[in-house]
Amino acid sequence: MFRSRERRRIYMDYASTTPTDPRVLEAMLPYFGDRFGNAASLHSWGMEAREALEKAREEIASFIRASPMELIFTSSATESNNLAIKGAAFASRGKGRNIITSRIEHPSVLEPCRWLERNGFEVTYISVDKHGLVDPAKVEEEIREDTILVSIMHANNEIGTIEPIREIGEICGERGVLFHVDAAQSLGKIPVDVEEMGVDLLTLSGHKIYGPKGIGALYVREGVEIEPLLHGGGHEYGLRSSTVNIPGAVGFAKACELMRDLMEEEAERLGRLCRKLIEEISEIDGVHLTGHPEKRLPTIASFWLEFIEGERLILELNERGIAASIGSACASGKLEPSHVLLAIGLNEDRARRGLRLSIGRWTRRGEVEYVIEALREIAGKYAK
Amino acid sequence: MKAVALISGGIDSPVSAYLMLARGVEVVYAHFHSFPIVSKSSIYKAIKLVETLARYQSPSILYLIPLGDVQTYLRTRVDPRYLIILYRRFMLRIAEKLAEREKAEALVTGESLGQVSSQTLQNLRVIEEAVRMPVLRPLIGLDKEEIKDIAKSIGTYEISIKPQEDCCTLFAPRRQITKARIEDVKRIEEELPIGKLVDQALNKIEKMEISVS
Repeated sequence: MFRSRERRRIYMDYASTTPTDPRVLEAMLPYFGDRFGNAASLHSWGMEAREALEKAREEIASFIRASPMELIFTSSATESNNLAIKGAAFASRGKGRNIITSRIEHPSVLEPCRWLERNGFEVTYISVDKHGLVDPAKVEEEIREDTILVSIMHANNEIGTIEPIREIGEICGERGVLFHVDAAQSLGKIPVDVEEMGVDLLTLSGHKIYGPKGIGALYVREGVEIEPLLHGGGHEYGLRSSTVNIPGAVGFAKACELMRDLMEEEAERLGRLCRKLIEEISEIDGVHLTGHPEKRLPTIASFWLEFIEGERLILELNERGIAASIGSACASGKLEPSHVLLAIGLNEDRARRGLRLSIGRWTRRGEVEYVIEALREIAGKYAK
Repeated sequence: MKAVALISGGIDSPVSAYLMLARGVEVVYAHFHSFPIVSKSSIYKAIKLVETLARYQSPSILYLIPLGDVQTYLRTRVDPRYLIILYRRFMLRIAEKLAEREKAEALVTGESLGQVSSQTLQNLRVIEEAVRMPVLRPLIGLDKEEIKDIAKSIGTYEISIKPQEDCCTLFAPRRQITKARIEDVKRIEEELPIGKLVDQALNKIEKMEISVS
């Protein structure tokens, strides 16, 4: 489907985005065609759209064990993170001005936090251990009288480490502090259950689980107050005015519906392939695993390499038809060291030598073997 | 003892259902909604309310009944001042059919006297005339504050006050009649395909089983 015939092309960058599953595309198409109605309209076109929208909302909500009243659609995980953090900060302004987050969050969490710092809030950035784990005890220590929000990601996008969300959720619950979790990277790979995780706000994204780009969602626990970013016609329970992207919502829901059946089997199969990548690539001289050895997503193999700088490595792999990433897609355009690799204790030079291989629904064993071989070859070329 | 309780997303109806539960009556819930003409928020609220009340009776049966077709039909054809009364007569008729199927002996509503200008004795009588089954109104003599206090104590208040696009606001006229006369209502209804509208709604009914969450 996305492999060219002329030359072998191997996509190992599923963590930055996934191909849209053909079944998802098929579910969406009618809503670009004659079912184009606006879900806010009173006529039959509008009703058709509203029915599709609510069915989508129910499907996604039940996938994370939430009520449909608690799920609103957004345009992306970035928007959901912005809405959760700025929205909670402004709604709780009367209660306090401190926000706690970690040093390894996605830029769409860190940048809203920096913006809030410029606007009168205080942000505590928690450090992580060498595997990228946030220590729940540290979160507890940092919670102050005026702390209003804790935001910690479910799984890291660069190194795959899974954070102890339930423990942090418990602490936040006891201390009466709102808890936001960015689950853009973990959804569909490991169970995401708002009840078990004890979260108040949860960010989701469509295009990381074989859904379309341009659709995300935010879970807002019943009773949790946030201020909207977009003011207008009062769509999405007043929290996100904008005509809702019906094809996107339908596609996102279809992706969740497929995941419900496929996730367990996929996680196991990909877990095996991922372990193979990790084991065999770590054996190459000068290559080191990044992230936690066990508590990690079954889809991300990440390393730092002594003998080659990250961007050069990506180009070498691309020459061999392999799509890989330094870390996050957002960082791929810049030469800056990865803030995640710095946070786990690598120096600036090493933090520019990251590699992330991420696998998914169409990854085959032969491709994994080919990539391992390619890395051995590159190591032979560069290692002195 | 079994009754069908009409439950909206509001404050009163869950309290009236609760009072029946407290007397040992088995309650089957009926929620009338206008989806997909309006959003599903009233449905989600009804589900949450029944989930909360499931503490007293689990599992509970909730019927979701689309009233949108009836509302659209009436809104475009009859004197708007009679709409609320006519909707309510339709709801009771549908609920009565449901109660017969469920082998229930009574209907329960959240009406109380004088709370809104349309809840007059005359109107209640005209509404009730649509069915043969007894219509129980456990809140009839309570005032708003008393009802709110009970709602708070059983945990339904917080759910009920969440804003919603109510099934009534879209179809509610600005002015409604306070002292309806049964002859007038019957004259209006003579022109309507009542049986057909009732059956249409009954055919699109959804049944849910709800346990304590």
